[in-house]
Amino acid sequence: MRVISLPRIVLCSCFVAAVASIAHAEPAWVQVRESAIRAKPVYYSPGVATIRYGEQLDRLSTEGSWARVRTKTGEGFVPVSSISRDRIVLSVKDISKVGADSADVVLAGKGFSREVEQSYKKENPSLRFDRVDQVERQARASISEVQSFRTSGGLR
Amino acid sequence: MNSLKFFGCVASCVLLNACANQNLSQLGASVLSSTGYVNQEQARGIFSAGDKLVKSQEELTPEQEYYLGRSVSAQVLDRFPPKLDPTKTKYINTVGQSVVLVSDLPETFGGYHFAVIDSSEINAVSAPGGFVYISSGLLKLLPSEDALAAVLAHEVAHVVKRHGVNAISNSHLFSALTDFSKQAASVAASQVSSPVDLGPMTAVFAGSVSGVTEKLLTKGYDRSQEYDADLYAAMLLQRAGYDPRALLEVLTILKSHAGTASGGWFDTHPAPADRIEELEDDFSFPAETAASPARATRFKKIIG
Repeated sequence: MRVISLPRIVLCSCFVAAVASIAHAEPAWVQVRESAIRAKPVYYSPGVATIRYGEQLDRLSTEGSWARVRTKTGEGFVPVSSISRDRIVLSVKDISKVGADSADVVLAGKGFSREVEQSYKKENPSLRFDRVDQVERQARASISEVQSFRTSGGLR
Repeated sequence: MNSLKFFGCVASCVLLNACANQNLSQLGASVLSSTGYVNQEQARGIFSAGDKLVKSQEELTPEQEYYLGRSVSAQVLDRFPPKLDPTKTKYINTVGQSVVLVSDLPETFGGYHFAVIDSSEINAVSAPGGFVYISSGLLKLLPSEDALAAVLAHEVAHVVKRHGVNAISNSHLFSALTDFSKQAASVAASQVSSPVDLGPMTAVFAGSVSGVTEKLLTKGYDRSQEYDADLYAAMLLQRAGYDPRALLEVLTILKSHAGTASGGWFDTHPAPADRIEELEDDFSFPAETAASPARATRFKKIIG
């Protein structure tokens, strides 16, 4: 009778687990302009990769309000609310490249968008979009600064 | 010349769709095939690409909320300019972020932005996408960082629960957004470089901006939405480590000014006394704890 060694069993188990993980991965798309994949499902955990609007990820599982995801550049956690099950297509020119799968398609930059804002601005030239830009350009604290601020202020 | 005719046909399809309720694919395919350049089946294939692929919208995407919020902000900041003291601004943003990061919407498309607006009114408002404004009049009345966090948490609650967006959400808006995306996709699928008419979508956008701005500055949200925002704010304060009773403290301060002040929160929110009563009924406040000396020191140093 042939005896299978322990290392082989472990190796096979890992292979099966990896295949199962791939099989259960669901496609998801980043729906915020930029975010970070974090090592642990907490905000103050170090970022392992930067992800950008429209980028496709593999969603592996959900832990509370965090999704465990994988990309070519790293694996970790992102807020569930920052990703979408709908396929986000960044350019209408790419619509023809979309294959027939189950994901719904959302066209980025259409509807309420930069181009419609520009058109609205033309119709309302006195509106102070320059002030909105100022507000958006204000210096904001980084995640590590927020964490330091919280610690020094006795916040959890 | 032929390509010009083809271009004209595609543009006609788009315009016709904007004017009538007829299905874009059927209408576009009929007009396109009538040119003789493609047959009916080919034409139907071109125009159905957008119809099949693009999702029928039932809610605004985070990107669309962001652009709506920018234009609502332009309306707010047109009336009340921002006071951009860098130290105060960074402090208020850091307090705001401390609350946001424990919320159910920790990231928006363009990120949260907190700013002081120059107004003696007692007021705070938030626009879709995460733009939060507190008036200099209200800021002056706040006694502590926890009270500041309470005001910001109430506004963040409106963003997380999408109260501003819900004010304008209706089937007409979503069918207009869906049609617009399908037009763009159909034109792209036809591989003809044709500009989509932005006029109808700009009109829908302008109506939505006006609707949200009116809710924020004049009409106010429904009472139930305000109570809901208070309850969620108390929970955010507790999650973040702030004292949730700071919200009761803010409402008590507002109550003491209710007889003499007007405009702002007094016009758009339920009476502070009613809000206190609702909040005390619905939220289990923890036992009183000693105030943080570190938070008191930095608040006094930066806000005064």
